[in-house]
Amino acid sequence: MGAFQETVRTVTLAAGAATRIWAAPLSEPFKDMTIWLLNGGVPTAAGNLDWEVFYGGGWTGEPFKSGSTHLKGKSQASGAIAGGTELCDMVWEDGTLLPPNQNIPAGRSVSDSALQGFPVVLYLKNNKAVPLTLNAVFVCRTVGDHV
Amino acid sequence: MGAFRVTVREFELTASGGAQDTIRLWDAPVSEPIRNMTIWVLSGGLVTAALDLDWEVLYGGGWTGEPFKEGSTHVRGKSQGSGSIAGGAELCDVIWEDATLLPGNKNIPFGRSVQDSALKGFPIVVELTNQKASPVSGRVVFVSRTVGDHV
Repeated sequence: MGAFQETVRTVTLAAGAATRIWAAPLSEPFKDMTIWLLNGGVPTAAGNLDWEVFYGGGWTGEPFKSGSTHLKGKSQASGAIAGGTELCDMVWEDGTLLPPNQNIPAGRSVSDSALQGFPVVLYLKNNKAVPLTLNAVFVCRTVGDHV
Repeated sequence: MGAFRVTVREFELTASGGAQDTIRLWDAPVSEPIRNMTIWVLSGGLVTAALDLDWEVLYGGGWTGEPFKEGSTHVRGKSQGSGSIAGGAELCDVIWEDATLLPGNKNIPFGRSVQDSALKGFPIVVELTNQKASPVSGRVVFVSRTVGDHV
């Protein structure tokens, strides 16, 4: 059986800014996806953060690259974290078997990649008038070889 | 214990009433029993208009041509579940999960007709029907876990 996998994305959002981040590509099916939002005890003000989890979608540039822009995808859940002075929230759990997302050849455009891959994407928007730095942690369990 | 498997089938459907507004897709042949079958329908961000897609999962049945070949036509089978995906601008849906132990489907000799193959093998089939007046493309992903040799 496969191992647990953890992907940590650190993101700094300017006041009012939004971004999309995603889990690392996987070449195997996976399950037990859990997504956490953490700021590690270094908040400077009360948070006011919108989040939304997407499955699927595509990129305008090279898939899974940090400089590419992810767009669309199907919303799984959304919410807001407001009022606290520290982020340590689990925003998503999914126990179903999910297909891998590594089989997108590098350099494919959004039109091509739309036919392959299964990204798990987290949209974040900082609604405060001050910047916010946080970690998004994607945890899942790989469950075997991709054959 | 066996490995997890992923089979991806891409589809392009004409507008409703067109030459191919319905298609049947199936999992790759497996020589071992499988379990934890999950079937996804994905469009991957290409869809720009609201959808109206009917789906149905069938076990068994047979082919009018060579079993499991792309150019053959699958017929019959026992319906396990059906539904419709409508209104959304993107497909990304789990349409089927089955945790039971399912038999392998590779033991159909090539060239058997539907009458013969219907007696053997265990294909897992998805039928898709486009109800919209515009074409739709996407893919069906079958995920499962093999659990040992087929004995």
